[in-house]
Amino acid sequence: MSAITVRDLSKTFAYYRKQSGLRHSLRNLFHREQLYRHAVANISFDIGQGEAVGFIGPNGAGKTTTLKMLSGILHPSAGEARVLGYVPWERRREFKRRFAIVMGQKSQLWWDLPANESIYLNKCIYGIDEREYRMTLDELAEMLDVKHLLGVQVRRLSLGERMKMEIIAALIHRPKLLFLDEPTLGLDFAAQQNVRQFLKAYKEEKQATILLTSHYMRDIEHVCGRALVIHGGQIAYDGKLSRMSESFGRRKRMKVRFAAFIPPEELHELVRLLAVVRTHDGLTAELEVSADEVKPLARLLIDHDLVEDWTVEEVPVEEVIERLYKAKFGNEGEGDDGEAPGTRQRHAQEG
Amino acid sequence: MEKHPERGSGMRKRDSGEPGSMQPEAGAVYSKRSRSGKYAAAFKIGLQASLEYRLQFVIGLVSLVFPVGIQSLIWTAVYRSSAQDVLYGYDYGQMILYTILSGIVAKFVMTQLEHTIAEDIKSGGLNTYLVRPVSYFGYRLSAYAGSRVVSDSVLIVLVTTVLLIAIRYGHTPLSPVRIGLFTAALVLAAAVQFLLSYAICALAFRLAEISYFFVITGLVVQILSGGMVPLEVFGETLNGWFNLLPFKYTIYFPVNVLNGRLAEGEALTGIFIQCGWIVLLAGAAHAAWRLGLKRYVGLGG
Amino acid sequence: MSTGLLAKCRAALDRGTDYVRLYGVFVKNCLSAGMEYRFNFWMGIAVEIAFLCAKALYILIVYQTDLHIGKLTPDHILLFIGTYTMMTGLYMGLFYVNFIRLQQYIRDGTLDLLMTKPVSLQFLVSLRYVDIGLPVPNVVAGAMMIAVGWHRSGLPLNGNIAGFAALLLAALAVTYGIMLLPALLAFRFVQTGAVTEIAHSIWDANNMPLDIFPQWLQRIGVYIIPVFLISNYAPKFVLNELAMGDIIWAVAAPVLLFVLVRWCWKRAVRSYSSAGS
Repeated sequence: MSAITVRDLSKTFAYYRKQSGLRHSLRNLFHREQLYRHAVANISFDIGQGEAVGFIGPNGAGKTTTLKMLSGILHPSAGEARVLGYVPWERRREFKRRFAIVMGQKSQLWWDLPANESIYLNKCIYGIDEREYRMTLDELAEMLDVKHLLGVQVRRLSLGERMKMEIIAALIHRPKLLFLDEPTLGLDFAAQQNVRQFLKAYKEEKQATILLTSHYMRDIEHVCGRALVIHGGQIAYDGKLSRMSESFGRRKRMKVRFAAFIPPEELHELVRLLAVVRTHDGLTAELEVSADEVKPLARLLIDHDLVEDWTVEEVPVEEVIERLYKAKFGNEGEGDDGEAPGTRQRHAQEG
Repeated sequence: MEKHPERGSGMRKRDSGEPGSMQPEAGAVYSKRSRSGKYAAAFKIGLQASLEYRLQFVIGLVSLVFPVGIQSLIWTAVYRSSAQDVLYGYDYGQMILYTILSGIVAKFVMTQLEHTIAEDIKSGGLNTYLVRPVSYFGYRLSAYAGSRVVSDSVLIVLVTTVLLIAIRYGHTPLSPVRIGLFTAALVLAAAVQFLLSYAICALAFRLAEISYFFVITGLVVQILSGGMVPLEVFGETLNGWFNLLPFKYTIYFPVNVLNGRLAEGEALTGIFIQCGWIVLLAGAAHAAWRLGLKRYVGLGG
Repeated sequence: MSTGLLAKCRAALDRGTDYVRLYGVFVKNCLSAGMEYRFNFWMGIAVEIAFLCAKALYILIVYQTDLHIGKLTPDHILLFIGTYTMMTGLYMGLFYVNFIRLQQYIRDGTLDLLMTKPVSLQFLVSLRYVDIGLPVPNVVAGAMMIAVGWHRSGLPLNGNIAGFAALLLAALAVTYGIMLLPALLAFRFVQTGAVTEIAHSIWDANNMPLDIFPQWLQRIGVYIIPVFLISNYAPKFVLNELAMGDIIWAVAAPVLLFVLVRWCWKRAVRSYSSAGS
């Protein structure tokens, strides 16, 4: 059974162009130029009950807008959605009782009060009975290891502790559906890991459906089995996360500094079978290579006694998304950025 | 909103002041020119910012109608029910004229600067001025003067209109001397009020939460300066005390110069007292800021 | 059929008690948070005392000039001023602290989170905060003025008090509606300070009995923008100056106003969620 069904959902924002200067502000008094931005354009997907989906995309891709529509905050410009059987933007009370939304940058805790006061307020808002509330609070605080901090004023907590409280407050009514928008943003490594593990455990224990956006690929890899990549308001990839990382996560960037000048043709000729040259200026170069071929490539370069120094890095997520997007919507003929042709085909099929 | 252009102009100044290869004399000449230049720039910024907020000013004027109108109606009721024609030394026409003029003059002299300056102190924005060859006081004064150009012109037109109407309804026409005295009294009143606000702002160095405090001082100043009702209402004893305070020279005094209740000689004396207050308050503000800054720098901002 | 209705009434009652309980939690939260900032608490009180001094000026004038407005003596006028003072305190403490926040909620997106809560958004936004310190001086001073005015004008202490209190409650509801309406402009405009300023200066029209205003203004203030209901009807009731029709209007106006506010609120939220940002 699907928890979320989305069909051709679109959201268009109208905004005004604002130019600086007195003349323009005077003119704006009478006439404002209205512009439109398609934040989300005709997206469709289904998410099953108990599924955890990572929502990936660069800033401004439409992730938050989609989450806001699915949680009933925003009304779409077109399209349909059913969440737990409800139309979210009708904002039915029964619907609101069954999901939770956590936004990394927005707090629902009262700064000057201990977190448990804000959590208790949510208990009253959601109408949870006393026993169930106690149990849930204990359990969640235990899982997140913040039991001893419940009575401390929120403003005295660290960012990570505060986020954990935020999560407890959001989950106190034991929702079966969670929308999480950048829940780990700005947290230190340990706290990120905590939150990640918690989400995974919560999902498994409660069979909860999770839709998670994050800047950190790690969060998504840990919690989600499926990825929804959105770019420019459109879905660029929808499928297993493992297959997505297979194609990109397993490709590496090798940055090389040569001991001496090497002509471009020579370098190309040398690595042709193993890697793609992304940039090259004679003394340094950036090569892209599949993970299995890092070693042979390194050996090759050492054997030719060319290298002075090198580093190996992951392909940045933004770039992966960009490529997925291009693979789906871009013109097929352009192979100018050194992309391996094979991977592109694979992705076009995936969507 | 105001912050942005300020910062920009500050940068420009520092850049132009830096060239190290310049001869000392040339540098001095340069800095002199740039001094007048930078305050002119501050003036312009104030002017621009006030244009940005013109709608707010207009609405502020419109909302002035309500308290003035309500007070006039209250006085109307008071005069109608009273057996006497003259209350607190004002006849009905004078009282209404006082109410209207004091509302306008209050708009003219009240600075509303407290929050801006306190914000500079609290947020550390003051640092940007301290490290630059610009006096914060001079900067604020120029920007303030600039921000008043448009609104004060409108207010003066308003005062003139009110007076013309009053004269039509039997108020004695004003002699040129009186107009001159009023202009002087008004400008000096604005200066007194500016210095008063500026001195009060030095408290932001000491008090953590100052916005409440400004509400109180604003209100007290308004009452004591005759912005709500003529000071005669308070009785003779209190008025004896008021004579020793600077407040009455901001609203009460210019209004009474204008409506003719003060003789020309008295008006002139009042103007001298205003000048005295300006000197005193300038000294007090300077001292308060010196003390505050010492503390500010000591704390490291 | 009738059991269905009964169940409905019951549900409504349950929801009502839920809201009352929730409001209790709000108050408790605000009390404990208020204790955190004792300095602000006392400063808030000081500010209100300063405003009281300004109001005292009017009382001074009323008694100094022995002001009579129609049949109203200075003591009667004190009753009006007292009511106004008390209502100002209640407005500041119960509503104002919430209404000024609306703009911030919209700007920083807190409204989004509040929208996902399974209780009335309007309730959450407009009643979430209660300032305990702010209204104290006004309510205490107002009550004192009412008591003094009541006593000095020789008014009887009987059922009148219940009527007076009931009309104060109705006035509170009118206050809620009238002052929330301009605050709703925050959905439209970034800056609403000027509008609030105007609303507050209109509010100050209640400083004196409405009889000082010309007839046409009285009509507007009673029937179109019912500000005058806030502090005039309760004293007028004890002075036997209200006809039956007036009393009916005093009860109907808050209801009508609430319906209007509800309608505007819904429209504003709908446009917010379809515009977005």
